[in-house]
Amino acid sequence: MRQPVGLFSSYTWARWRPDGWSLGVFAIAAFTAAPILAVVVLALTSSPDIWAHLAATVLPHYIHSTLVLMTGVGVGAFIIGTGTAWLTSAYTFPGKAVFEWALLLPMAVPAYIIAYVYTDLLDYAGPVQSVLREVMGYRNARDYSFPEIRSLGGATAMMTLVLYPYVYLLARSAFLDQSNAVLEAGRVLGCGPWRNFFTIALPMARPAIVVGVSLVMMEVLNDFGTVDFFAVQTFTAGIYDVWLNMNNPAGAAQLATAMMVFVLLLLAAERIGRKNKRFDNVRRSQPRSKTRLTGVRGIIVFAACLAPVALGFGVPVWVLGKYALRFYETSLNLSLLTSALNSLMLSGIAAFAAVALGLFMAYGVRLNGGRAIKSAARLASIGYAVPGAVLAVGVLLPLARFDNAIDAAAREYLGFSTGLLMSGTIFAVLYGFLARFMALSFGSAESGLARITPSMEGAARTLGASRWSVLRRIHIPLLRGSLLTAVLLVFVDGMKELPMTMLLRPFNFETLATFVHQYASDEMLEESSLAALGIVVAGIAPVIALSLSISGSRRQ
Amino acid sequence: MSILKFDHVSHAYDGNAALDDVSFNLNKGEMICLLGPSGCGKTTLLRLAAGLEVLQHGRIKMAGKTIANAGTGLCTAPEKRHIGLCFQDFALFPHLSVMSNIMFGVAAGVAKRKRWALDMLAKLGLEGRAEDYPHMLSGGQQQRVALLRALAPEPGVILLDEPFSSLDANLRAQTREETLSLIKTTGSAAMMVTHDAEEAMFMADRILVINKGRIIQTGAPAEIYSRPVSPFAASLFGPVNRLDGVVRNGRAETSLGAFAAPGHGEGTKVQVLIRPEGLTPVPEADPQTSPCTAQIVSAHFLGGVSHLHLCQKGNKELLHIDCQARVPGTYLPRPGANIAFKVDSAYVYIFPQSAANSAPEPQ
Repeated sequence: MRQPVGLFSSYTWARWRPDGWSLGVFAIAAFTAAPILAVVVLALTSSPDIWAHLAATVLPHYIHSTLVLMTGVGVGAFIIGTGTAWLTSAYTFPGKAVFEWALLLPMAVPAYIIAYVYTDLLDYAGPVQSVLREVMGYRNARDYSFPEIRSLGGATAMMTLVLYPYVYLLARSAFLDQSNAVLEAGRVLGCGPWRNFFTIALPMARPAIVVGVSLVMMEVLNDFGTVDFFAVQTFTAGIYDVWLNMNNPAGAAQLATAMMVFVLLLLAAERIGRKNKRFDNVRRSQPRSKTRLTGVRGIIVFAACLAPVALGFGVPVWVLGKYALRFYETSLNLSLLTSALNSLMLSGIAAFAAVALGLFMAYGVRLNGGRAIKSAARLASIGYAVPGAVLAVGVLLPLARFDNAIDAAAREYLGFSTGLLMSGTIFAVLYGFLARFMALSFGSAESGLARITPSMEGAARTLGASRWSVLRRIHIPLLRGSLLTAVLLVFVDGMKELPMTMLLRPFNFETLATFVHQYASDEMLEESSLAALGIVVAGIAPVIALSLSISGSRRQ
Repeated sequence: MSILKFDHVSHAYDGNAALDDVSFNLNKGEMICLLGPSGCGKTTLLRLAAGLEVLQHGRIKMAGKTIANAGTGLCTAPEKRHIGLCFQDFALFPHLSVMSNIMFGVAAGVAKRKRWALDMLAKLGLEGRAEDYPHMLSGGQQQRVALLRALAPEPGVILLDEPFSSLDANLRAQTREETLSLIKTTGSAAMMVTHDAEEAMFMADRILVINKGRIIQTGAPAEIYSRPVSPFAASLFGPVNRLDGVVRNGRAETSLGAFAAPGHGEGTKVQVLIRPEGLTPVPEADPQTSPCTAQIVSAHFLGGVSHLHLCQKGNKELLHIDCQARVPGTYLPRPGANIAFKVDSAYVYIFPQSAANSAPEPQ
């Protein structure tokens, strides 16, 4: 491999020195990956009896419901995401220009919020069943059967509705990148539109779709709010249960490790799915020609695209908006404002810290493209694949040990107790956020840097620009967009984040997410709707940014 | 008058040699072309000259001053070398306008160079595009902007890395003409890397043929074309017919006749390379001019020339020879017809059989 001469490498005198960037990358990677390593170490070193007990009692149940949930949501998201992506990239029909971005909107709604909303709508006392009873003349639940929303099936439906945009996003850009000529060749060789889709377009987009579906499955593993509310016993719910209700951190760590094996298998499957499957290097010759759908077919396609947007975004926002308007006098109170402020502060600090550290790592990797540094950076990005509950275990355990050690030392040598310095502080929550969201900021910075080809750097250098001048005149202006996107992504994920905040927050410290969770779990959706709406509104910003950046890159 | 001098330069990536003991001079106002197949180390050479790669062995001097010396570890930063480099992918800065791109490296006399840039843009058919952004330009226009950007700071040497490879054939011919005249008017020395022999012959005062990191031949285009030092050098300049022969009485005997083989020992096996242009059809066989006959397999009209695919009659193995005959008008004998032809010894190159192994893969 060619080693481009970097911005900050020791340059005028060509002898190697250990440079600050490499050391910095290793330090950040160690910091970010420490929680994961802590979980594994604790799980492997603590006594095995709890594990045997778990295996005999709840573990099979955890595995079963987790697998069913992952498969169900994966399949659902695949069908909705790929289908709508194909419709909006191969056809024109009424409303298509709006659907292109509107199909992303459900991404802004956290799964737990949509779960609260649909429970409110669909349970026995809710408007849907009331109307049904009214119209059909039923008197009570024994007169008719209605699917129970608070079930495994309900959780699958809820998560599918808000997670399919991941598949949609990746599948759509894969479809748009496909060469028109290849699809036309299929038509000329006698494939109808359906066969063309199944034999050419879909296999060519497979790597992107596999990535999308595995992202969805990781989000399923990460979810805590929905499964907790629906009382579905998944791994994540189990970790929470074993830790807090059984008061057994070692058992929680063991469960968490088992879950990480799950995630690693998923990651490996995704890798294998992508291996040697780079179909995407076909150059686009001309813009895609799109078939116009009118009449009945146009209406069917319109309805097919409208349904996921309406169910995943329209209904929850409508319900929350209605409640928010009706109850804002009681719900707009000091505790809501404090929660909102806490959310903003936490997410804001996390966003800027993650982006600063991510950019530093991405630079380090670019400057010294050695294997060790690349592996370190990859290790630091693994947190995003690890469910929040697992990371929370991993953050809390070492911090507690650290606190106890300091406290013991202080008592022994100084004669007073320091108490717990780190555990249960905002620092712990922030640490969890960084460990989980570093992948987002690192990935954005890395892809931003990748667009700056080494020859651009070389061009600037041969034109007389010094290292710092290249940074100022080339890198920063070209990176601004991707860094802003990264700040936004981390910020919004922070606003939505529930499982880690629940486990790591200081006593009585509420964010919007925990606020909503607390009220809605007690069936007081009305009081929390304003907060829930706030989270959704914050989540719309990156959706807009994403669709703008996609259409922008298509224009060039 | 040497402006750039490479002195025993060697370079390797992860233990794979890219350059092996390379020495040469670039003189003031001269244009040299490094010609060789992909992966032969040409681009490494440019990057070393520009300072984008840290020198591992040897020395590089510019205008008499050492700018890189592996022995002492000296490696002048690229921004201090005053060398212009035009990249294969152009590497225009996407966030800067055409004018800002061109003016990026200009430190002094900004107003004057701006006038020059506007002048040049107009000359190159880019009038009124100074405030456009790179993505709004076609490939050929981007290439011109990249060249102007490299020339704008008035570098002592300009390096061009396969500058026309991303342009289509028609555009390439036009652009290289413009590029050559632009560089010649600025008077700066230039070094270009290419794998296209025609391009090298068109642009270069001198060609350096490179194979596997070594310079195997240096000379003016006509000299290298007519006196290649190896089968490799010969085949870089287009297709050749390869024949086996044996030297008898000082002449290499082949199925297409015997050719003078000075310097080759009696009885040695040799490889005889004949360019297709060297085969000329004659009305009928004449024993005086070492005639041959062959059967036409196919004949194609290519505009200026006719391309004949021949096989020789009487041999058990078919001997396939590609032949381009320069015949006035259209020369298209029917497949199966027998024709007589003579061989022009100026297009015949004879090498010892051992040299045959180093021939490049046909591209």
